[in-house]
Amino acid sequence: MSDGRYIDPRIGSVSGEAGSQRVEHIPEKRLEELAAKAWDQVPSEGGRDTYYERPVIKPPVWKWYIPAYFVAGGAAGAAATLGAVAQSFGGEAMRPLVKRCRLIAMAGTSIGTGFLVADLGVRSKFLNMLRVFRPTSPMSVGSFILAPTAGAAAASVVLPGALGDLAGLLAGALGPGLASYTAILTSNTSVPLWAASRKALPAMYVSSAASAATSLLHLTGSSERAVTILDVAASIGELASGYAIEQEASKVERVGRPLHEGTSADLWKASKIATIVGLVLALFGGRRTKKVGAFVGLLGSVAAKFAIFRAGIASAHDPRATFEQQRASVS
Amino acid sequence: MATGFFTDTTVCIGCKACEVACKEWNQLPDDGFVFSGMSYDNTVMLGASTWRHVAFVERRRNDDFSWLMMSDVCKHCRSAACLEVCPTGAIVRTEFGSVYVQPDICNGCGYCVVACPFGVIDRREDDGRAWKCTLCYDRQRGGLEPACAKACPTDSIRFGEVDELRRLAEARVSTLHGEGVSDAYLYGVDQPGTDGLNAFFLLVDEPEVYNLPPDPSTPTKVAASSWSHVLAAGAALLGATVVAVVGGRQR
Repeated sequence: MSDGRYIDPRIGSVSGEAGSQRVEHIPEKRLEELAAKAWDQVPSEGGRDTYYERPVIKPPVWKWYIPAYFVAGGAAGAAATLGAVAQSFGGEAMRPLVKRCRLIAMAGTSIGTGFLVADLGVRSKFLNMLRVFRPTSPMSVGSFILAPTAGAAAASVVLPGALGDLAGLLAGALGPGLASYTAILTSNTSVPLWAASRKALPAMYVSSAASAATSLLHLTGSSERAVTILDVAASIGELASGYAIEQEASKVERVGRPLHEGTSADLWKASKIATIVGLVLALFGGRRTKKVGAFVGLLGSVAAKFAIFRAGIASAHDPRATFEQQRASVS
Repeated sequence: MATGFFTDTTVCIGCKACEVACKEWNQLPDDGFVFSGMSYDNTVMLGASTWRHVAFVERRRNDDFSWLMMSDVCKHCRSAACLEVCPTGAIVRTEFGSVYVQPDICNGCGYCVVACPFGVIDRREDDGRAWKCTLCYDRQRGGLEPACAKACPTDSIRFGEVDELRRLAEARVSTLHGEGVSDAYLYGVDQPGTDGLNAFFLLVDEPEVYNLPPDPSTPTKVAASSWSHVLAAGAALLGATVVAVVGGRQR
């Protein structure tokens, strides 16, 4: 098919600024969307206060890989932290827990890296993430947290004895950063809902990370009291920071609306219910019901991150969310 | 010395010569042809393959009809969100003060797309990389003005040194005020959130009417405070973990 440039190769060469732009198809989705909307209203009629309801900012191009990475990387970061603390203060009795933590940290960082690479437009150039260090870019800072954490987590599993312990400590030192930086990665954007909840988001992400890690530990057979204590603290943290996010995001009603309306709201509600069920079962459940609780709690923390992701995209599609947020901070 | 655009929307006639000149010069592919129903605007928005976009606003004012047209473009912010968040260093500031995406370095992470407060830069799905206006870097290197400004028949798009353009623009606003167009004002010259735009506009209605954000800001402006919350959360995780391990030890 034509590449949409209409340049006769016998006469002209393609060497302009956008000459290397690859064209395989004309964006059909956009065309369908536009054709469906055409003339649903005479432009000059009605009290429009937006430009034909078009979004002001570009809605994120990120796919489900990104929230999936937030879950995997978060769980890995929290597990690496717990592993290092348990190895330092837990004594011999906690060695099995340390081992499981390291395995989760290794699995989480490698699966998470896979998600990140999968989301790139040019996957073969993923190493460009480490080409420069840019402190103003949370994604650059995060790349320099993720890469060594992944390496240390793998080394802590593979290397024997003291070397493994050293790697475990290194991974644990980077763990809190890995579990929390994704919050500023999310909020350091022009997406109204994400930007609005920038203060509460880190607490949410960290709680959700710890909850996912402890759930995985429960499910793989850890019944240590330390895991239960952290699990309970994480679940309470999730509920509290979830409330804080709603408050922060809803300072401008229009911005917080996707947390109360639509599929993102359903997901958000489901995450809260799952977290509460998981918390109750963790506190009062028997051996078997505790495992069920861990599974439900894991679903809750996954749902929370996907709900925030979806809600942000919905707010990006809404021009009034952008307008009203900015007008509110003007006056 | 920075160069940029002063786009005077009061003399735009909506001919779209800028859109065509941009596509032709930069050899951008078409976006498909569709009838949008949005007045004469079938281009709809700026995007990876659309670096100039003429907006058509139909207004009812005092039982009368009024038409506003504006040729939108990348603003080449002095504090540019896309550049600040680009993790690969693909987005750079050129010797002309413009913001430029190097296609051979961009790996299509999509961070600039969510960072831009104007919805300018976009990732093309089949190409995988982010693209936007280059302020005709190649033409400027050759001493030429950008293609859109060259093609504009009414000089609605003026190209030049930003300081010079600013003087021109301020004079134009005074003239318009003198002629009774009291709504005329400059958008983006001294915008606190972006430290000012190298491509700014003369408008005669609220920014929202043209689909421009009323008070855009690069997210990096609040990064220090956001990072402090991240650090606090990370410290809380570490603290909670220590408490859990020490409290959970078998006695």
